[in-house]
Amino acid sequence: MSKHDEHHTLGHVMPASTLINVFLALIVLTVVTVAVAQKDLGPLNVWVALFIASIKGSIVCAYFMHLKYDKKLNLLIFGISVVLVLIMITFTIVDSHFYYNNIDSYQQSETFQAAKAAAASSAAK
Amino acid sequence: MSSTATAEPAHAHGHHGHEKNLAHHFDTMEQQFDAGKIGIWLFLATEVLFFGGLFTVYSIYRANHPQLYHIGQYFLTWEMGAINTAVLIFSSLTAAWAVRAAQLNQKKILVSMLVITFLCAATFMVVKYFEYSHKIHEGVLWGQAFNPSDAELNHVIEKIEHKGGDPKAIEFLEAIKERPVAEKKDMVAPLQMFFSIYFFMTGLHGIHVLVGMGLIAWLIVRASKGQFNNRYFAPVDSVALYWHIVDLIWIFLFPLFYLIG
Repeated sequence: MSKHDEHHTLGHVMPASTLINVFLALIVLTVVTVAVAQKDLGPLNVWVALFIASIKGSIVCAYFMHLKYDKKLNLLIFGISVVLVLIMITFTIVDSHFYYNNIDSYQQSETFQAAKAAAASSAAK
Repeated sequence: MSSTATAEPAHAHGHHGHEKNLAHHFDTMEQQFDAGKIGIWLFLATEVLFFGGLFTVYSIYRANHPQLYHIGQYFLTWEMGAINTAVLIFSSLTAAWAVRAAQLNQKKILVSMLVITFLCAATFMVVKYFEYSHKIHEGVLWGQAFNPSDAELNHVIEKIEHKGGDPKAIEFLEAIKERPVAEKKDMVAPLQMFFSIYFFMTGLHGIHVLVGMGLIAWLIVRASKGQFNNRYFAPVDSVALYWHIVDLIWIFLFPLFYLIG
């Protein structure tokens, strides 16, 4: 079997042209993200920045890190970790928003207002 | 073990003398290479989870206090972050090229690529040093230590005015000038938190860069001794993968801290 040929190179050899093209694409995308950030898009700012960063990240994974050519198991391991982080972020944000009503109603309560006034008067002394 | 082994592993054993880098518990170089790859990818997955916790902190804080990221961003110099982004992307290119050179038995190119990667990492840390030392000098620090100098506050206010001006942000920064800052808890607490998150995330990333420099230095020594070839370059491959993850995390940190407000 040629697989056991001693001169057979292990892994996938990335062509030099691909490496350079990926590098250029990453630099162009960095310029784009800086240029876009000069314009205030309001709440969209974060999403545009994250979108561009995700494209850059995917390119790095696929070509520099060889994931496109690797055993799919490696992609699976890495993909699971990314999905877990996204779940963690999403659920934590959703959870933190759940308690806004409680915080608001507490802050409008007499107990809180009285405590705040007492703190302010003691700070003034 | 040997009873279940087919003719192929026996064939590989016959070559033991030639494949000196084959550990005895692997049948073939291919198997050894693939097993090592799974190992390094599992490690990279834990790195993603590690930083994922901090990205969660960032996201929660951003979702609840968007205005503070808007102001915090002006304390950072985006040009420095952009230079570091370019430096890291270039170092990722040379790290990937080092793997290619090892696979093609190009020893000289391998060593040069590793040296360039190392120098890029050092450049990154020098820029980081200038950023951090400026912040330490001007009191732009984490938590209770957050006490920016008037000069720094004026500089930030100028920057905001230059960008079109945000009266609320300027008013906020003018108010901080009345000291002591730490007593204005309600006001500055979120900004203290912003810099805690900033220093924690960029600091942890910086530690990763330093570790990477150590690993690359080790590779340079081994590569110049001619210890890598197209059948054995797993250390180069693994360190390069680690280095790409360090680059990948910076690709997210740069816009999230320096660019978007």
